[in-house]
Amino acid sequence: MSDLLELKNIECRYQQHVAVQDVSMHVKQGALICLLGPSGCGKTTVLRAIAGFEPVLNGEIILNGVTISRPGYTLAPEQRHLGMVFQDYALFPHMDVNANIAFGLRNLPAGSRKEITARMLEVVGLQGLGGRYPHELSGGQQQRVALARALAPRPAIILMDEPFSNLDVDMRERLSLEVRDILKSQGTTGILVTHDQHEAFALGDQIGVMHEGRILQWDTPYNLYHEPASRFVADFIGQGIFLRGTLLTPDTVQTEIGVIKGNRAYDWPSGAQVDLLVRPDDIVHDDAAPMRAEVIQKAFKGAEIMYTLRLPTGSKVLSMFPSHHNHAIGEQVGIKIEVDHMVAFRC
Amino acid sequence: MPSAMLDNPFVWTPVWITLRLAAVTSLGLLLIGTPLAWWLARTASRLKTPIEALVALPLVLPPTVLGFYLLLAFAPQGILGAPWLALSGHSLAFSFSGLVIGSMLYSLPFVVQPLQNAFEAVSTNLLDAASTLGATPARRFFAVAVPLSTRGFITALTLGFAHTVGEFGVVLMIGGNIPGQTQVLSITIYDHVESLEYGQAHLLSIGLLIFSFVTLSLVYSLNRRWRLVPSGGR
Repeated sequence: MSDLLELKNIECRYQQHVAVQDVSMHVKQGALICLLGPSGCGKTTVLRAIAGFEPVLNGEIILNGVTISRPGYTLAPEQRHLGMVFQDYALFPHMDVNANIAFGLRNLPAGSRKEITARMLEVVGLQGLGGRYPHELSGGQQQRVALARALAPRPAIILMDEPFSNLDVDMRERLSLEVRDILKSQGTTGILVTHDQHEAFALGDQIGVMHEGRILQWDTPYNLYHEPASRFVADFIGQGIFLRGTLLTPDTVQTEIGVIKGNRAYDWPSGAQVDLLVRPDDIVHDDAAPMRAEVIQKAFKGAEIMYTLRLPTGSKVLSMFPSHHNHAIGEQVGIKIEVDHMVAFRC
Repeated sequence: MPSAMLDNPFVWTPVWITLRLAAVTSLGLLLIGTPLAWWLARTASRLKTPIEALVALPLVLPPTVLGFYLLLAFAPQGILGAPWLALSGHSLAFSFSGLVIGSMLYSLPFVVQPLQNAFEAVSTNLLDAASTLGATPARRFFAVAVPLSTRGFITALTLGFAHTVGEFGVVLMIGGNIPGQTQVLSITIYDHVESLEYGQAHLLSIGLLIFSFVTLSLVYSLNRRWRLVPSGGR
């Protein structure tokens, strides 16, 4: 299947500042993808370039086989037929919910406009609220109206710029799963931009991690966590620490917590110094284990507790224990290492 | 005695001329000022600052300065007067049309600035959202920016009107004080005072004072009421 949207090595600048550099991506019909990165990494600029609000200084954006952006040419946003959900929702404050949703349906006869508006209200679960004004709605409801308004004209792609960041944490997770279901049920292709990895994991089939204007890695949420391709991705995604070690054979590393054998081979010479990524789920609680560590910090997470442990050698590691293993700070606990995915970076 | 004065056409003619001048001027300014304010509110052009300063100039310039240069321009050989004379066969100086042009320049900031403020308060995201929904620039302006700027339009119209009613210096310079043609209220009052006709001066002055007070009260109360309607994005 050919791509619905393709970005070929695009570059965007604000005056002299390079905001986006050499970004490429392929988006297939029906896919949900996320651009994830810290603020200022250029992810919103990529989204705005796709929407037609930012020109590209290099590269090309192709939608359905047609070039919509290239240096010196930017097809106007209103001619791209892409939906967008803004961080502040950008609902028209002087129009009620129905009028907001119907805004993009102007070319349709009044009958179908009404029908689509009613259906969209149903899709986002806001039946009966069509006569309300945006300021009479909660944040979550405004978010749904924004989504319904963007979806109503059946856009080729829906672009979402940090759509959940103004909601509280509970609502954020619930809505991101709900939005995923809505988009999947409508068969809509979606591109989400966020700095929140949980949101990205909840919504995206594929995630592009961005840093300083570039995409560092395109992958599934699982692979980003377990097989980060760079130190930045390893650091940015999930929690964990790096332990210094020495490569013995291509797939074993000698560390202060013993020899760790992994699932992949590195072609660096034996004896090379490496930093080994240790995730909290790599350190398992085991009272019978000979290796002991001291609890120096704990954070209760409900079903689990995240412990910061000091190893006898002095290094600190993170470990997630089931919540009923409740240990006091200062206590010695038994741990064992279970690294399924060995991730090492050469020093 | 006041009732006799109220029947006097010499009282009502300048009132009528003044109202006509203010109405034509404020409507004309709305037509010119709206696109100018919209451009000023949205542009990143280097010309923005000099043009803003130019628009604000009548606020600080003595009306006589503006009037003096307009008089030169309106003269039959002037840069505006000559083509006007060729096209219409009439002189621009000392005419009602000349007064309208002078008043429009003089009241320009009172119309452009409230409109510009109102347009600047319209969130860019709202306009961007409208364009992703297929709205052309014209629809973005008329369906989003204008309804969200109602307050600005009311303020601009009222201030433009009221300021034109209250103008004196420019009219004096370019109007020629022709009764029944270019003699407006403020100048009539001046004439009455000059001729020591304090009764008539009083009547017209009180009228203007009350008019200005009522107009401004109206603007402020409307602004307060409109503020209750949220105009932001969230």
